[in-house]
Amino acid sequence: MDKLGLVLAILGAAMAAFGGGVGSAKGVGIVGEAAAGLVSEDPSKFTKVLILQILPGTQGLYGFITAIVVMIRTGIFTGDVAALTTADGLSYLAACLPMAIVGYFSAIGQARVAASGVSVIAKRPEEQSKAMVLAAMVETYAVLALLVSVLLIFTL
Amino acid sequence: MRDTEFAYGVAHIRAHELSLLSNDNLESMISAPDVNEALRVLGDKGWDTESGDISQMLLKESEKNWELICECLPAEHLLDCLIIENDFHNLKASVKTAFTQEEAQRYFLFPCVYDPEKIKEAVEKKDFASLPLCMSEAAKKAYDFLTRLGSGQMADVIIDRQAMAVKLQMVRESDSALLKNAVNMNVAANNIKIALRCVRTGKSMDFMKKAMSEECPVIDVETLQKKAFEGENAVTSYLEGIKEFSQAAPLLKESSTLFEKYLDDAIMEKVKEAKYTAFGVEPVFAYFMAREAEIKNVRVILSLKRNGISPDEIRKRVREAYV
Repeated sequence: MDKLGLVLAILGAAMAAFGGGVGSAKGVGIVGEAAAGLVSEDPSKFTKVLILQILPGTQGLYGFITAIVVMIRTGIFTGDVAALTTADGLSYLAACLPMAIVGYFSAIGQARVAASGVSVIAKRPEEQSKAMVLAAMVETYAVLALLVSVLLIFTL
Repeated sequence: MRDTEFAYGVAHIRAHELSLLSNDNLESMISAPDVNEALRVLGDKGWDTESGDISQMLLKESEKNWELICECLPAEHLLDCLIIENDFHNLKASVKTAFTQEEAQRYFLFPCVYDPEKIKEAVEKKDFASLPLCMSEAAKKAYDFLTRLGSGQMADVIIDRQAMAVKLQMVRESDSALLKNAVNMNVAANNIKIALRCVRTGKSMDFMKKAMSEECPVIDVETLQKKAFEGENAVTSYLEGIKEFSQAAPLLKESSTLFEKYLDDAIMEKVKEAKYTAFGVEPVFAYFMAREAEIKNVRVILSLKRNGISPDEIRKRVREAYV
């Protein structure tokens, strides 16, 4: 039973990395497809669409940061693993959930906006900044989820 | 199918939309002093006008359009309903030329879903079973009518009706409400045209029943047949009571060309909704429709211009552009 707390904390870290990572992988893939659709017709717009493609990739990074913070706090990195009760472990797991869930869905949502932004660039390349701002708005919620997760982990 | 699977296709289509002819381009063509000047407008928009053979140029553009659509779809056959009528036209050509010395090839329409040469071969060998399933029975019936009664018209009717039935069946499987709407409107318009032709040529009720598509979500076919039997005014009054055709109905009294133009414009107006759709089959479908309308417009403008028709008369016949 002593190990259950640690197992739950690791599960939380894994979920944060998984949610953000899978969301980002899917998201970057969606925008990449849209970008390829445009670049195959007009290669000169590659750099413009590349920025949009990167945007949904941040959730994967946030998930990674959350997992690392959990690993640092629980001593997994140093090898000096803290003795965690089940309640502690559940707290870590709960703290990781915002990043895991919001990370996944915001990456997909952001990808949809960014892929639509590729269509904006296709027809009106001069409006690239607007397309980026629209996609970046979704980022707000991923950042908030990261903050909540990290702050919760630091309070434990 | 998830709408995001169309991400590549939609972005690709958006890039191509830039080269569509606008209303201003069409106006420049209409007001051009001659055909060569009109062709120059097309050349500026990237059309291959070098050969000077207009029908070949339009055929090539149509084939290019379908190739692009196929490239933009994440799975094959998603929009086959848009070109399946060409296959049935090719079947008609094969059935009719089986009794004459004419070459069926010169009547074939492209793009098409099935290889017209195979259709021709199957009809010539009377091997109707080797035709695509959706065609075999209609082909056999049409062939029998031609053999026994020598009735080319009935052969046409059987094949046309089957074409509409197959088109509706194909679109039923689609998730796109826009595509369904457009095809439903097309089937309804087709039934109305048949009704009018029947009125004008004094066809029997039995003929009308054989010719019209029974399944028609926009109008009640039985009522349309009854009205057609009563006369042209009854058809017009009936159509005035149907939301989709209320504004088109008065045009019937003027000319069927104007009526057809109105219907095409009405469908295009609906199709324009796809301009604001980020994902899904709709933008690809809309582009196909836009290009087909464009090709139709170019054909109308160039042929009328060649015949010395005035710009005002040409304008009346030109369809609304997508962009």
